Amino acid sequence: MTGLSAAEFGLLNALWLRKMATRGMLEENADVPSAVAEPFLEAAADRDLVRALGDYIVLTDGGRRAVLDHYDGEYRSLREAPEFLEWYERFEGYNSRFLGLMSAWQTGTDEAQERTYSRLVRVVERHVDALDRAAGWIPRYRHYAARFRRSLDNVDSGRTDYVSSPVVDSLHNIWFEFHEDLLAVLGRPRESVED
Amino acid sequence: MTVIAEGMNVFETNKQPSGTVHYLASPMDVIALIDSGKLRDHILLVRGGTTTFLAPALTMGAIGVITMSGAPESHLGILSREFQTPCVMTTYLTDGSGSRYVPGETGDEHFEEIVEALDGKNVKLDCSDHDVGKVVVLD
Amino acid sequence: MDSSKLVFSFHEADPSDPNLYGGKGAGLAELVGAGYPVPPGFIISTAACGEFLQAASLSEQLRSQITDHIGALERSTSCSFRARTEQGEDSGPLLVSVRSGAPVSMPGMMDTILNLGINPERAAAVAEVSGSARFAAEVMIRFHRMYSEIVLNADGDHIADQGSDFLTGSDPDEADSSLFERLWSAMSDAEVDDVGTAVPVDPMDQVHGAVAAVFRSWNTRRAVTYRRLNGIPDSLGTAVVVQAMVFGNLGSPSGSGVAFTRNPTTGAPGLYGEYLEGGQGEEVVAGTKTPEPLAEAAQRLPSLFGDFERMALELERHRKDVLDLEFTVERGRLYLLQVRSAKRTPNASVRIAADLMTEGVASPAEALSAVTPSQVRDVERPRFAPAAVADARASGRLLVRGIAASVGHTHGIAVLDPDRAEAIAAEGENVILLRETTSPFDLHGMIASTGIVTARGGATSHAAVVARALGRPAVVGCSDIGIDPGAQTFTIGSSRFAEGTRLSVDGAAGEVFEGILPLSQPAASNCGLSDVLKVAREAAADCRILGLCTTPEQVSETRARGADGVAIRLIDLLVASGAIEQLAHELTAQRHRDRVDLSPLEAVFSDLLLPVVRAAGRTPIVVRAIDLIDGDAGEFLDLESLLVAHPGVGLPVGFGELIRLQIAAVAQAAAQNQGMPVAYFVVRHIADPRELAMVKELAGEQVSRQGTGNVEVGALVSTPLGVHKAVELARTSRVLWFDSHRLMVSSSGYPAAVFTSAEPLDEYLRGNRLAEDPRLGRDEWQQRVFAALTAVRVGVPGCQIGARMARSHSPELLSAYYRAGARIFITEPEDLRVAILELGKAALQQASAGEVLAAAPALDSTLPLVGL
Repeated sequence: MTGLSAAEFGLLNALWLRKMATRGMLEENADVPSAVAEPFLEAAADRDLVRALGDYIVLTDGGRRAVLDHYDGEYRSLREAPEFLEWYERFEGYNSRFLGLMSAWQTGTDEAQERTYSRLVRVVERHVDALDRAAGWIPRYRHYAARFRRSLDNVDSGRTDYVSSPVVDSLHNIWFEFHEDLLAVLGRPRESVED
Repeated sequence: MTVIAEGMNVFETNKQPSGTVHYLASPMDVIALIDSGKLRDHILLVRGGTTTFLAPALTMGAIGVITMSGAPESHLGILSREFQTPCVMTTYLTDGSGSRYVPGETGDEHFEEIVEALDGKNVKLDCSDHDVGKVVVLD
Repeated sequence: MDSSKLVFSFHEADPSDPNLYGGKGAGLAELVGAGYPVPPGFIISTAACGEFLQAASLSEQLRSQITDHIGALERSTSCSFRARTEQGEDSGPLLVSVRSGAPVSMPGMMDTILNLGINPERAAAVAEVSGSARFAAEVMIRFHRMYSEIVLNADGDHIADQGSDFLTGSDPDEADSSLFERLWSAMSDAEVDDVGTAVPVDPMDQVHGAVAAVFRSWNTRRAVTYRRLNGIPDSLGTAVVVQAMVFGNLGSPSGSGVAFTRNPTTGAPGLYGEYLEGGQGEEVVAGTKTPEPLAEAAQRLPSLFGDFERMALELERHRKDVLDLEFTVERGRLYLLQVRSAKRTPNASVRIAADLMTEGVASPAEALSAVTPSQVRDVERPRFAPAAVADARASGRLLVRGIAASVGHTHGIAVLDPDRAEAIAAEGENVILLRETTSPFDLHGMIASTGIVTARGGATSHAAVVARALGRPAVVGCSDIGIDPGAQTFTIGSSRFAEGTRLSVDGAAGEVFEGILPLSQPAASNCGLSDVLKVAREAAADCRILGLCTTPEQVSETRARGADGVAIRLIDLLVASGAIEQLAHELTAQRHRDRVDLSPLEAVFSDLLLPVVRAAGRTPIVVRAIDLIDGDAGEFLDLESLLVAHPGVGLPVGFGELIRLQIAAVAQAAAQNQGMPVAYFVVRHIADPRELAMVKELAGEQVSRQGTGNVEVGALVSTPLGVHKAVELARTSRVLWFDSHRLMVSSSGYPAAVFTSAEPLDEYLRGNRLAEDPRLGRDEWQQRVFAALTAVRVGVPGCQIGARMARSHSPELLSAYYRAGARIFITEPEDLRVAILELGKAALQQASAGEVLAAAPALDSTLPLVGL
């Protein structure tokens, strides 16, 4: 199944990244207006690409294939580009650092929080700079950079739930989605494999 | 009250969730389980430590998770702390063949042995220790 | 002072000028000046920061002053950045730390780089002095970790890992002399690989790089945001503190510790802290190693810790505050590294303030200013334990959010029907009444419940109004809740719950949780609180503070909190009893009559008043007239048809019979409660002395009809027009009342609901869309209100001024009313103690400022106030 429009891919991909979402969340994440999203998601349900789960929407196996096929078509040549692969290697370094600091943030004492967060911010900011560089290959990565900046602003304004809470567009949520995205670009999506 | 398996504890908690172990091999398994309305009856068993397809199960109120690989400093670890869902990672059988998970070197038989031993068992998770999480057989 | 001087030794700096030397620098200067042992060092002033940010580089002048001060440091420590002194002798290694020190502490600033001065050459000297090559290697790795991360923006952990990996498997103490060169290269290579540049070898270059990094950190996004949100000027700049390193892990006896001059959890007096033998300070702070209690260490090193305790307590008396001290012992010598005000729990804070006052260390004004309103609230109000809330939130037990309609925390079992709620509550259960919406038919169930949750309705819905009147925590408008009364179940999202499910309700945050969240006990045992409030009460002895009450229980509760009297909103009595229905019925039934007669309701109204009036005993009572149009009554009456039937209700005293009815009821209740000297009856929106005269006339008639029961009539100024006429109104009043909340609402034109919860305005202000927070009483309009108060105080000495403060009003607004001349205050019961505290602070402040503040604030000449 190929031939998804940019908006359609945006919606299905948002679902692939989040794993489960309401329509409103998808429209917001993919930046697609309701007038486009609603008929497409209805059609996608008819074609068995998505289905309802309680108040949420999830991808079916077919939907997942459609998304990953689109990645394959779009980014095949990038998977061979040495510079991009080098960029990815560097991300893996940031990633393990980010996950470690995030865990420290969740389990740390109050005294240590300020320092942990400062270090976390440094990693995120470095990654945001890297995202701006990667936007040459993948323009939609600019959107992640914008989301990171918005969440950093929120944390700086005192809303610390924007660090790791799963129910807001927290730094961890954005990072998690980006990581899924990048692995799909590389043709190594995580489905059921270990690790 | 026998400890059947142990692994890395993601966070210390006094919660002791119990239920029947349910092995989830794919995203559709997760959705089917949520659909069944029985999510809260089960302790979830998965292979991966960053098994991102578990996110919906955590959101919908999963009570406990056992993984066969991966480390507490991972996306799944972070999410399970946020949801306060007890989680034991890179779990191995305390009384099995002695096989341990080694990244990149572990064959399917390691995972199959664990699934064989745990799937369908009525267990309780003990995550009160800082480092070690335990899977305790009930009945 | 020489403006070209940018760098100062601790002796040269003026401790009273944190704006120039930063908080940290000024603090160190103070310690050094008073003779306390502090590692030697110097301060680069905030002026240098401004210069740097403009030029984007360190000036020659600054570099040369830094060089001079490093020279002085080398002489005083007999150590050096270079291997040989100017006299050609071998020198010990000089290692320094570089820290930021802004005038106000803020997040996002570069904090600390340790061990500057280390390089392959000096590492050999460190190895020699310490007798350990491993120690020197660790100093080097640590330096690279911090410097590469903070100055070069590299991945410091990764760099340090390269260093540690290099050392693995070899014993530095057995290695040859090239070890430090190779270790340095391993890390430099990793740095070049990561960010294209490496940590400089030359110690002077290291210092320059670190100083520039501190200055740059003034403009990190986080610091800029923090300053914007907290109104800190960007021009302030940060200072830099450069200080010789001391090592708690070098030789013996050595170690590091942290101490508090009092227990920061309970406030109990006595030095309290921990000491880590052979450890560095951060290891204690980060909790990576387990230290021993200070008392145990003191048994081993009695003279050293005896000195330390003496110093700590002396410093506490000097600063009049509980202190948090970081210290290091290097080979038997004690150094203070940091002395700052200690973070403490609300309970500790209140107790400490009271103790410092009793001990004569702090004056009453100093003690009061050390206690914040939120600390008082924390100490007095039972609330969910924060850890339990965090756990509930994290584990997905936060079921639903709605509108925070009535403050307070409570829990109980969910009941979907008012009859069952009453029955179950009668068995002694705590009940949370959960309804789609509420109506007067639910009233008995609402009275029986401890908390109320509804699926529909806003902050002025029936449920919200009644809950506030009854003092029950409530969350309304939880649109995610679906209720199935037949099945006796309710749903939230896709989850279904049965009646009887245990719920916890946070009426302040508007949150409903599944399960019972434990309530912390109000610390009634905190004797400190009553001491502090007693002092505040004495300071504000000329004030009268009244608590708003609906029930006799609230009256006794309110008086226990220190109220001098009681205020009643008649509308609250009507909605809490359901009598509003009778009023509505009469008004509808008499819609075609020329002369409305509400006298049948007199007895009903006075029966409602009597229990509360009786409970109040001999204390003054203020009764606020019903306002059918503007306020909570809208939920109970069909306003449109009411206005058609009785057009006069739209005007303050346009519906005389309703006013007469209320005065008659107040007079009857007052007559039956013999001891009461006088009841005040106030009418909102009055702006003309003629309106007031009309109400007075009615009151005179009613009182003479009763023969007893003295009722004094007053105006509650709530409109701009009323503010303009304040002085005229005051001339015929014993007390002129101001409705602070309504005045805020009418000036902005925002709906009142905007002010009833904090979030919309907080969000608006965070978004930088208003220069002034209207709730703080700082804007020009409110200045005009205060000017009117002052004009009344100065121009009509016989009239007292009262202010009605809304729920959770800002303490700043209360003090502004006090300063302008208000001496009678009406607050919600839960705000009473905070109000007493803040009035005490304001009174002491005014007293210390003498006559200056007593003068009227300047008036805005462009818009003269009518009647002045």
